[in-house]
Amino acid sequence: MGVQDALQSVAEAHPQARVIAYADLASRMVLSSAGSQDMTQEHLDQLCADATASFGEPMSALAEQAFGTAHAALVVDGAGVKLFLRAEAETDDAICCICDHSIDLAAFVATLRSTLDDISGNA
Amino acid sequence: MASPLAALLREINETLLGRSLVFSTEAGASLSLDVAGRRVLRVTAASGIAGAEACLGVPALDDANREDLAGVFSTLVAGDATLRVIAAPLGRSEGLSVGLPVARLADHLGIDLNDEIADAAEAVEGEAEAVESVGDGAEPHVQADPAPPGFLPTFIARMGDGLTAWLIRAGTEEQGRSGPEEMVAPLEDFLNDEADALMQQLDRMTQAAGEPVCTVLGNDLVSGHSILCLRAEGAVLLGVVAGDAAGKVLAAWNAARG
Repeated sequence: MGVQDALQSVAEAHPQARVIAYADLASRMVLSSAGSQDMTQEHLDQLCADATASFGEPMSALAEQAFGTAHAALVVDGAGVKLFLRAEAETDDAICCICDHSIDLAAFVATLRSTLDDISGNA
Repeated sequence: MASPLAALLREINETLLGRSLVFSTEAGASLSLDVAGRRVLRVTAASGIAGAEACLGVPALDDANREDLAGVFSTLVAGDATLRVIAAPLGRSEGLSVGLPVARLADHLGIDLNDEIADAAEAVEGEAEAVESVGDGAEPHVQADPAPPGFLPTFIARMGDGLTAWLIRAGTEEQGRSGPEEMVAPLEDFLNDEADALMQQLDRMTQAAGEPVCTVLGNDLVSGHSILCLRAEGAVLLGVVAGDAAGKVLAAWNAARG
């Protein structure tokens, strides 16, 4: 299954996920995306910037001290839920999502991790 | 006295959290908007406003809709000195950075929002015919408060044992702590050294300054330990979450939001 098909499959299984994007955080570029929310290039760029900020200092240093490198980040505010997962081996490979507050986040994280492992492993 | 059009824009400009705003006039026209972060996300309903169909059905307004939306606003208030507004939480949160910033509408309409805000205090009495007639409506006006009262206590209570250790600071003042000292002490040291940098990092994560924001970093967010940081009510909660951080944190957030 290709990247776009994989993202589309997740979007269909989790309709509360409005945007599911596969990104290269090193270049801050979204390579493929799916979901119900229309996203301009500006929005996708912002999503990459949000991911980079989430894994950035100083929170990452505290996480590193507590349990090692963080591979998952969650941001919740009034606009929704943003979830960022980095690949274990290639930490610049990431899935970035925007979801409704009503999403079953535990189940969604599990699905995304499996999807990211497949995508990043085959990339 | 501020014009109804200026008052309408100011109401949007003061709305940070996602809200459904319904503006209505004595003449019977009404306009329903989804608003968040000082942006108009979409027009959800309109009645008695010629030209409103140009904006209705647009899933996410942007700068291309500026002229149409400015026209809708102008038509709504034309010839009517009384404007009422009812605000309610959005039924479904969405939008993030999409939407049309009210500042661009104000520029288009030649209205200086900063002047309007500065004049607000002295204009309250004279503005009774404009937006300040909000209280006349049957439903209460819901202000865009940064967080409901008791947000942090509710969040912590809902997290329960999942929040293994935590510390709350408001500025340099500690407002509470719990958990094993060997877990709380590193949190305290971190806030002593990195409080300003942490606030800047939170600012980079949310598009709406002043509203609650929560971030969690973990290895996988479903097992092991994760680090949580929640800013609300002028304070910061820093904590360690055990186990299913993703599910627990979102459930606690939704409970605290009410």
